[in-house]
Amino acid sequence: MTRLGHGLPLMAASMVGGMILWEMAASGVSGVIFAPPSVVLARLAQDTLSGVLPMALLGSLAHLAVGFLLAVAVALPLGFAIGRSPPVAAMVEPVMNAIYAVPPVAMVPFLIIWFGLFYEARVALVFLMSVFEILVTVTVGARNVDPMLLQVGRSFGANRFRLVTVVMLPASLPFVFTALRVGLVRAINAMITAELFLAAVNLGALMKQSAQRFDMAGLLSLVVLLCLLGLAAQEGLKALESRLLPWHVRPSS
Amino acid sequence: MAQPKLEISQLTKGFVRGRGDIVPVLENVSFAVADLEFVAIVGPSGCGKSTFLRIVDGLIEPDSGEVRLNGRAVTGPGHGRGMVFQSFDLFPWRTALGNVEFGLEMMGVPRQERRDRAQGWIELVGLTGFEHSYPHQLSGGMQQRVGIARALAIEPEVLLMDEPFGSLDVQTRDLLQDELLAIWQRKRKTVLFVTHSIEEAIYLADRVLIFTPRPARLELVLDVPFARPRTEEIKSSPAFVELRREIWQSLKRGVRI
Ligand SMILES: Nc1ncnc2c1ncn2[C@@H]1O[C@H](COP(=O)(O)OP(=O)(O)OP(=O)(O)O)[C@@H](O)[C@H]1O
Ligand SMILES: [Mg+2]
Repeated sequence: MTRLGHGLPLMAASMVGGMILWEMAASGVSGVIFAPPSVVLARLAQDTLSGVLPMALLGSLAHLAVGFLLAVAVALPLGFAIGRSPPVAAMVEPVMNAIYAVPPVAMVPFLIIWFGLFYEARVALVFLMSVFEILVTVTVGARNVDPMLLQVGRSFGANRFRLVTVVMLPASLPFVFTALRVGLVRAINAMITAELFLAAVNLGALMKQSAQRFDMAGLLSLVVLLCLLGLAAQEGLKALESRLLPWHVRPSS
Repeated sequence: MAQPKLEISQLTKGFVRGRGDIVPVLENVSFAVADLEFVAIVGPSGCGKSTFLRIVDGLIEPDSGEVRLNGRAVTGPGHGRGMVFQSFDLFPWRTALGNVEFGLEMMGVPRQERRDRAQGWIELVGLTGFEHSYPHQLSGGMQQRVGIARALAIEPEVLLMDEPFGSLDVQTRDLLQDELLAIWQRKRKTVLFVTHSIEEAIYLADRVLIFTPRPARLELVLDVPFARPRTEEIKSSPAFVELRREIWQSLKRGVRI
C-alpha cells in the first residue's frame, strides 16, 4: 500500500516527462519518420473504438495464454525438482543452461519445420521463450529455501512430506511469483515475435501493415499497446502477490 | 537422584571438513539432568553448543554416545523436546498465532483446539493483540516470545533453548530473562539453556555447565545456590560475584594457548 502510495506520483511524473520529451522530439519531423504522442494516442483510441485493436489483441492473447500456462505447468514442478534434488539437477541443469543460451529467434526455423506457421508454432515459441526463464528462477528459489526453517520444521516433528508442503512450498512462493512475472514478460515478447517471424497475424500483422505503409502513428500505437500490456501484466501479478503473500516484504520496496 | 529426566552419555561428534579431515566438535560429553531442573550451558563461541543441543533434539546424530529421555534413547526429533532457536527462525508466512500452532499441527491436533491452545500460549508470553501479526511486523524481543510460545505449545518435557536472547538488546534481554523465570515458575519444565553470558546462566539456572573451546568437553559443573523466585538484586550479591568469577576463571582455563 505504502509502496504504491509513494511510487504513484513518481510514476506519473516520469510518464508525463517522457511524453513531453517524445512530443518535442517528434515536432517538426515528418510523419513518416516519427509521430508525436498526441497523434499516436489519438490513433490508439480510434483503433480501439473501431474494434480493430481489441480483435487483434484477443487473437494474440489466445496463444500467449496457452503457451504461458503450458510453460508454467512444466517449469514449476521441474524447477522444484532441480532445486531440491542434486541428482535431478546434475541430469537436467547442463542441458537446460545450454538451451537457455540459444537466442529464441534461432529456434524459429525449427518451430516452422515441426509445427508449421500458424497457431501451434506460435504457442510453441511462447512456451519455449518463457519456460526457461521460469525454470531458472524457480530452481534458484527452491534451492535457497532457508535451511534453518527446514530444521525448525524437522524439530517440530514434520516428516519429509510435510516438510515439502508446510515449509518448502510456502518458503518458495515469493520466487514463484517472481518467476511468473519474468516469465510473462518473456511470453509477451514471444507472442509478438511469433506473429512477426511466423505467419503474420493479429497484432503482428497490423505492425507489418503499418510498417509497409510508412504509417508511423499506427506502428507506434501498437508499440504503446504492447507497453501497456506488459505493464498491466506486471502490476497485476504484483498486486496479486501482495494480496496472496501479505507476509512477504519485497527487498526492493 | 531418582531416574534422571535426561541422560547424556559420552557424546562425541565431529564434522567432515574439506578433503575428508574430521573436525572434532564434541568430545565425551556426559551428564544427567533431573526432572524440572534448569541447567545452563556456557562455552566460548563456536565451541559446539548448538551442535550439542541439536543432538539432544534429535536433529543430528552423534558419532558415538547417546541421549536418553526418561531412560529411552533419543533417535530423532520428537515431541518430548521443544527447541527455541538462536536466530528465532519463525516461519515468515505464518502469523504469530500460526507459528505457535505449528508443532500442534504436526502432531495432528484438530484446528479449533490447536488455535485455542496456541492463543493461551500467546497470552502467557504477553503477545495478546499481536496474534495476527507476521514476524516481520514484530520486534526481535516479540519474535523470540513467539519462538518460546511455539516451543512451549507442544508441551515438551524438556525445553531446549539455544542462546535465545543472544541477539537482543540488553534491556529486552533482562526483561525476557525475568519473564522466562516467571513462566518457568508457573509451567515447570526441565530446561537446557545455552548462553555465552555468564550472568544470564547464573541468574536463570540451578546448575551451570561450562564447556571448553572446540572440541567441547565438560570443563566444570557448578551449583547455583540462590533461592527462587529470584530478582535482579541477587546479581549484585557477593555470592553472585564470586560465582561469576569462578566461571570466568574456568572459561579462561579452558582456553589453551
Ligand atoms: N553442519 C556442519 N558441518 C560442518 N561444520 C559444522 C556444522 N555445524 C557446525 N559446524 C562447526 O562446528 C563448530 C561448532 O558449531 P556450533 O554451532 O555447535 O557452535 P556454538 O557453540 O553453537 O557457536 P556459537 O556460540 O557461535 O553459537 C563450528 O566450528 C562450526 O563451524
Ligand atoms: Mg550456537
